[in-house]
Order: sequence, then C-alpha cells, then structure tokens
Amino acid sequence: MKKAFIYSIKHSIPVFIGFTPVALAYGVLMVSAGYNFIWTGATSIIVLAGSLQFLMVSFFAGGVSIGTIIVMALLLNSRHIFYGIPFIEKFRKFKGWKYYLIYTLADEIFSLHCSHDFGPDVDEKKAYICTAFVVSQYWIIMTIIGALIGSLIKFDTSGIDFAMTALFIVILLDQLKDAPVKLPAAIAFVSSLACLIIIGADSFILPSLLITVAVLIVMKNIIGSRLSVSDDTTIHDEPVADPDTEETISSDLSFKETAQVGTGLKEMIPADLITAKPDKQTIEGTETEK
Amino acid sequence: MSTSRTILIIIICGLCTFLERALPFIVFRGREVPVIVQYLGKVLPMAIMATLIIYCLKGVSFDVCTGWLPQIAASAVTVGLHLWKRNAMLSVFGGTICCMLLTQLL
Repeated sequence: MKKAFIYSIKHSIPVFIGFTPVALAYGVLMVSAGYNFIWTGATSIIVLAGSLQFLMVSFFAGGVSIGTIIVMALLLNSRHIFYGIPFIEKFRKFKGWKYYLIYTLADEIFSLHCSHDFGPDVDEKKAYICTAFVVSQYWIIMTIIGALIGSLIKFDTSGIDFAMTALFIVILLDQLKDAPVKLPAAIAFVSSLACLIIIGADSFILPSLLITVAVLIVMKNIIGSRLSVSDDTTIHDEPVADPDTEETISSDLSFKETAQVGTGLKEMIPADLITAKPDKQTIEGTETEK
Repeated sequence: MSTSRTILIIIICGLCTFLERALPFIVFRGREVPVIVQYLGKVLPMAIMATLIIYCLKGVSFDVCTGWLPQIAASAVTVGLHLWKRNAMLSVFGGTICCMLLTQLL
C-alpha cells in the first residue's frame, strides 16, 4: 500500500500544481457567493468536477429551474461518458472499488489513469485507487483551504493553470511515442479544432468527441489492423516494467515502433496548432472563461 | 436562496456527474464488452487527450498577442522539452513557468 501511495503522489505532482490555483479560486468564489468552507467542501466531495462546480455557483444564486440545471450539468460534463470506455474491463476486476474509481473519473484522474507507469512491485489495483484518492483529496482540501484563507493569498498565480495543459500535452506525447498507430490523435485534433471554430468554445467538446468516435468507428478496419499487426510483431524493450502484460491501459499500446516516432510527432502537433491560428480568429468575441 | 434548494442542486449535480461517468459501465454491465468498444477503449485515450489539449486552449484569442502568445509559446516549450528530455516533470514545470512569465510580464 505504501509503495502505491508514494507512486501515486509522485505521479500526480503536475495535477497538484495545476489544481492549486483553480481550487483556491473556487473556494474564494464560494465564500464571496455566501457559502462557507463547509458548503465548499461538501460540494467538492459530492460533485468532484471542477468546471461544473464553478457553474453551480451561478445556479445557487437562483433564477434557474431544476430542469435547466440537470440539462446544463449533463451537457457541461458530457465528455465524461467516454472516460469509462477504456477501463470497463479493468475496473470490473476491482470489484467494489470500481464505484469509487467511477466516482473519481474526472479529467485529471482519467489522464493519470491513461499514463500509469508503475514498477512490478506496485499493485495495479492499489495504484489506481491511490491515484484517484490522492488527486480527489487535493481538490477537496485545496477548495476548502481556498474558502478559508484563499482571499489572503496575494501571490500572482496567473498562468499557473497551464500546468494542466502541459500535463495533457506530456501524456499525449508519451502515448504517441508508444502507439503503433497515431491516427486517433490526429483525428481528434482535427475534429476538435473544426468544432471549436465552427461551434465556438462553449459547446464544442461533445460534438467534437462524437465526431471523433464516429470517424474512429468508420476507420476501425484501417486503425484496428495496425493495432493487431503490431500485436504480433511486438518487441518489448522494457524488461522491468511489465511482467503482466495488462498492467496499464497504455501498455496495450506500448509496442515500440521507434522508427516512426521522431518524424511523426514533430509533424503532427505543431502543424496542427500552427494551421489553427488564422482560422481561430473566427471565434473572437465568444466568451470562454467562466 | 433556501438551504434546501442549495442542497438539492448539489445532490443533482453530483448524481448527474456520477451517472455520466458510470454510463459505459452501466451499458455493458454483466456482459462481454463488444469488440468495437474494446477497440474504442484502445484508441480513445489518445483521442481524448488530444481533445483535452484543445479544450484547455479554447480560451486563446488572436485579437491581441497577450491572448495567445503565453499559451502557444508555453505549449511549444512543453512539446520541445518533452521531445528532448522525455521527463514529464521537467516538461510540465518548464511549460508552466514559461506561461506564467509571459502572462505576467506581457
């Protein structure tokens, strides 16, 4: 247990950095709306979803019907319906703990579950549970601290929330390095950029993910065949890491094709980001930060 | 606003979030996961991570240079550092410090 706990703390440091300013800001917002640290803590424990919790502060103020609240809550977090898919079989093995792992399946914890990298001396189930526990406690405790003393903190943290973006970039780069086929990432990039430009920042993510899933299903034969081809020609050059092959979700994709890595990565990401620049002017004027 | 309504809102939002997170598990409860879903399970982590990066950068605006330069430059720094050293902590710290400096100095 101890090893899994230490592993999960190390593994989640970037999330801690990214969470801190957002969680503190949430606590401050709750207090300014008239809800003390008990309300803040209770909301964080029960809801455990950053963006929705911010939106809920405006629900508390009144004027929004319960029906509208349900629809908005479901829509805002709709991306979460996809997060369980890679873990259906894995969490099933964890018996009763699966309910805890489902409850904690937020963006950041999902990302950490996608990038687990523990040695053979750490139990898989414990690594998942400890990571979920540690990160959810960061959030809950930091929002409470924010409610208690957040308004006293004068340190300028603007820009620190980029830690979460950086974490997602790092996880994606690692996934691309190990993946036999990189097309799914490219499809998602194009789909989300197109939806962002066409639909706007407020509601692009669900349509974008639906399109991505549709395209992935249509292209199953092409992508799936490359997945299975590399299954047969696997060369494991990490003898330490995986005595049992189903160790992490990414180990399913961890078949090395070193030759492709260098060129594939450099072309894919900057190109997509750069080509997006001129087009994204079309979204000017849309309100983005809540 | 009444306390009971606030409690109701918290419970509703908690339930909605949990139900969405549980949906794939509810749909395929007690049966074999179809091949197509197993396939999605393998390719989705990468696709979702790419989507989340765009989601994080959705606030970027190209009206003024302060609206995009910190995030785009920091993204480039993160990618560069990670391709160079492959050290997650270094890449995250480097990118974040870059974004903080540019945001606060520009």
